[in-house]
Amino acid sequence: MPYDAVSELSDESLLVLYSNGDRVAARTLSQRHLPRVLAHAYRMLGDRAEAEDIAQEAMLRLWKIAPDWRAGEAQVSTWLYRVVANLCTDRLRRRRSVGLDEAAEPEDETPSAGDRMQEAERADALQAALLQLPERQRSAVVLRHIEGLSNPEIAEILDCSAEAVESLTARGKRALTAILAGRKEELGYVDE
Amino acid sequence: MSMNKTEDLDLDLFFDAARKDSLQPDSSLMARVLADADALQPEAPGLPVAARATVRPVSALRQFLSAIGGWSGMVGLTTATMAGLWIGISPPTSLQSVSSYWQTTTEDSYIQQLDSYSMLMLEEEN
Repeated sequence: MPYDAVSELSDESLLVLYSNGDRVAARTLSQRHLPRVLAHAYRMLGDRAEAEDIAQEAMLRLWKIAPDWRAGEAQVSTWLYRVVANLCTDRLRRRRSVGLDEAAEPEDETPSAGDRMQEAERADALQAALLQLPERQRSAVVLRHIEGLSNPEIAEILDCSAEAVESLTARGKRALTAILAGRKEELGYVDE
Repeated sequence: MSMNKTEDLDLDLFFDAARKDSLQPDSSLMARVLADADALQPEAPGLPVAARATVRPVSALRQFLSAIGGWSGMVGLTTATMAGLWIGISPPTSLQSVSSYWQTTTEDSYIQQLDSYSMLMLEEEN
């Protein structure tokens, strides 16, 4: 099927096409979902190489389940976020079990020299602050405030109630605010 | 205002910055993902994979063996063929006397039948 025609189709239709041997469908699904899967994994782990491993594994699981995908039961994006969340949990648990000495170094929190753009510095500062949050708070804040998912969607991903999501995001935002408040000036966030 | 107060910090600025600065997959990761997709992609529809695996061209010899009951049938057929060939080339004496008896008997009865027929025809003519 031509790429232009395929790119208009829903995720579920693309999974059916993929299962029927269409080679363009996988490319379209990857272009649609891989960026957000990778970004979410990076925000959870703070390490590009690990995030790429997680993103590849999540997409691989999508290819595996494609022939058995049950239409109408879940959105592909929600399903992928859930897979990423579980894979990240496993990865973080493994990090804890090998000890802090062998864990990935946190991102450098000092402002980089010279001419880095303010927005990039803010993004880096947020990433560093996110990594200091408990895992579920981090996940809820990222999904709610960066990925823009609704509370019921996040509840499905984190396997909890919408009220619990509300509580997680509120506590997460309070903690982020406290962490970032100390860096306002260096991040160009000054009082008018 | 104090720089240490937290209530005037707008987190949305940071979230906006994070959205714009999202990590993007490079061509290497995309290639790995598509290679996985290619390796795991089911065959195009048609015969199911299991059925396709069992449908093989059947040779003439296999068809013939199947018709005569397999290799045991083939052995019996070969034995019978060889025995028939041997008897034809070099028949045993006892078999020769039996066949000559049958030959003679048949010829006699034929002559007898001819005679009876001839006699009957003659009677009708008369």
